[in-house]
Amino acid sequence: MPVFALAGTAALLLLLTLPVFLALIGGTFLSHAVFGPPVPAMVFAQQMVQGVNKFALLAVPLFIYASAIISRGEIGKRLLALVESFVGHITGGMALATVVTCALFGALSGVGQAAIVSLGPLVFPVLLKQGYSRGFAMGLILTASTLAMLIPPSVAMILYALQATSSVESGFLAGLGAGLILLTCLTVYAVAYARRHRIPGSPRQGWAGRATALRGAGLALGLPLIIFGGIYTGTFTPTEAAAGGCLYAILVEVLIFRSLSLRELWSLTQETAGTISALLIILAAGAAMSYLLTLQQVPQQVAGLLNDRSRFEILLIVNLTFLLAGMVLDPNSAIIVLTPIVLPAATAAGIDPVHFGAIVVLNIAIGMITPPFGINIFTAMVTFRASYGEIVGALRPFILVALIALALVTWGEALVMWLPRVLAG
Amino acid sequence: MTGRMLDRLDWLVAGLAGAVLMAVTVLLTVNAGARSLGMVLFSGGPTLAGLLILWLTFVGAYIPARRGAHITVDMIGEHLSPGAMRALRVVVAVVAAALCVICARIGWTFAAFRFASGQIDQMLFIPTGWFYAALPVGFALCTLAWLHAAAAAIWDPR
Repeated sequence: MPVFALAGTAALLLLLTLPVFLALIGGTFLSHAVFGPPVPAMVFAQQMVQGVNKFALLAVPLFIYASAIISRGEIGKRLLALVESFVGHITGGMALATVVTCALFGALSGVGQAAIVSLGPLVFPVLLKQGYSRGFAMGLILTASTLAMLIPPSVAMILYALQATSSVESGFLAGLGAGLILLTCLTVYAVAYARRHRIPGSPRQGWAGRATALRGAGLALGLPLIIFGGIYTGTFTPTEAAAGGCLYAILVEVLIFRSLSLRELWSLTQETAGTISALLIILAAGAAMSYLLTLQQVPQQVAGLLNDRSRFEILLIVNLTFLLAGMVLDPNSAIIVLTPIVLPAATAAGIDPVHFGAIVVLNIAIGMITPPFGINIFTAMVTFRASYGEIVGALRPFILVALIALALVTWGEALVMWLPRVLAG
Repeated sequence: MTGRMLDRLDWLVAGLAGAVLMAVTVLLTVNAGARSLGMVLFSGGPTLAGLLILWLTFVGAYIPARRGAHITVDMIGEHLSPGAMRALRVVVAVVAAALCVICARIGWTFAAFRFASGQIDQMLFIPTGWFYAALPVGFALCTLAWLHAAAAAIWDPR
């Protein structure tokens, strides 16, 4: 009953278009006032502060900041030129270049929508010019942009790891495995589409052209080197790598590429600070809600309900739950709210929390391109000046491709976990 | 008058939030760089960064509250008539302000309790109450933002 009061109040407040963090707080306060337990309300203040006061969490605002800088700068353009110089000439080459560039962009930004805004306007006209349909081009860009949710440094994976108290580094590697599976599925579909519609590749570039593109993108490639090199050689924590990545992005975009003026950087920083607050305060509200749910023993009750189910059934239920949540909720809010409730049942069924993280994040990523409220759909409406119906229609085959990737990630544990097992022990 | 005061407050909070974000970036990078060179510049760096992000979280929440940029799930907005939409804006702003008042109150109680306890943070040598004071300050500012939004929805039909 307490959980229904909490969920019902939160859902009602959400329906009234109250901000997510206030809906969570409202549900928490009401459920506590009516059903207890008798702890003073000020413990929720303590939980809200503690929910945000974690060193590993500092990586989230910093990666969002880095992503905002990169999105406005030149790095995306240079990466695209590099990838196109190597694979653009093969059949489906431009589509392939789009997917790979989105993956590389994900390795720099960690935020799902950044690639749509930054790469979309560059890639979309080129895809159309080569003969791809509008629908295919939009669907491809939207789906490939979700790779940023999986390819480290993924903000969603950091949030999951914090909620699950599992290792961020292992989560990154599992996310990389899942990201490579999605990338492979998208690539296969894109090449098959290009062959079926006889779409030629771009003119082949010689080694001189490739060397020029490589030189142009050299500084951009330094960013993942700092982040991954720093983290996996043990030089930096993920948080420090995020800070270093941010500063590097500022130096490259402002001082070297000169794509951002100092005034624009300052305005971008202020704007991003607001975006970060809007996300972190949900995490604070989620911490208060999770604390109440723990006091009311809700995770244990959910685990008890799923006790007799097989591992297959539990994974199916988890997939459906997170997929539906991703379709209506902001991706990070869905992770913050649902992970503490569902994780105990999953671990009781013998599912590795790191593998579970990859499943959760991929579900949420798919939710971002799934109607009715997939957040990437709305971003794409603005970026491509397309109608809701056109984008939703375009996404159908891509959602199917992503669901195939999800099945592989969910039931092919070895495919996802080999990297964390080999590299992170 | 109130609008102009809030505009100035917007400018101040946005400026402080931007400065905090830049400061945390530089602080953590310099600290990590120094450590990798075998030096310790400021051992309280990570704690200070955490404290600054706490303040950014709660006080910075005022910025999206003023701009209507907090994350919401809008399922009904486009199906409502202008009159109903205006009524909804008033209800949302009043409920939001009420919830923020409650949060500011419990935040104030807890921060006062921590200040009164005399506990000192061992890295920054400041009372631990400063970590919790961000909450009442931030929610008080959000209350202002939503009260203003409610007033605007009542008196300004646009």
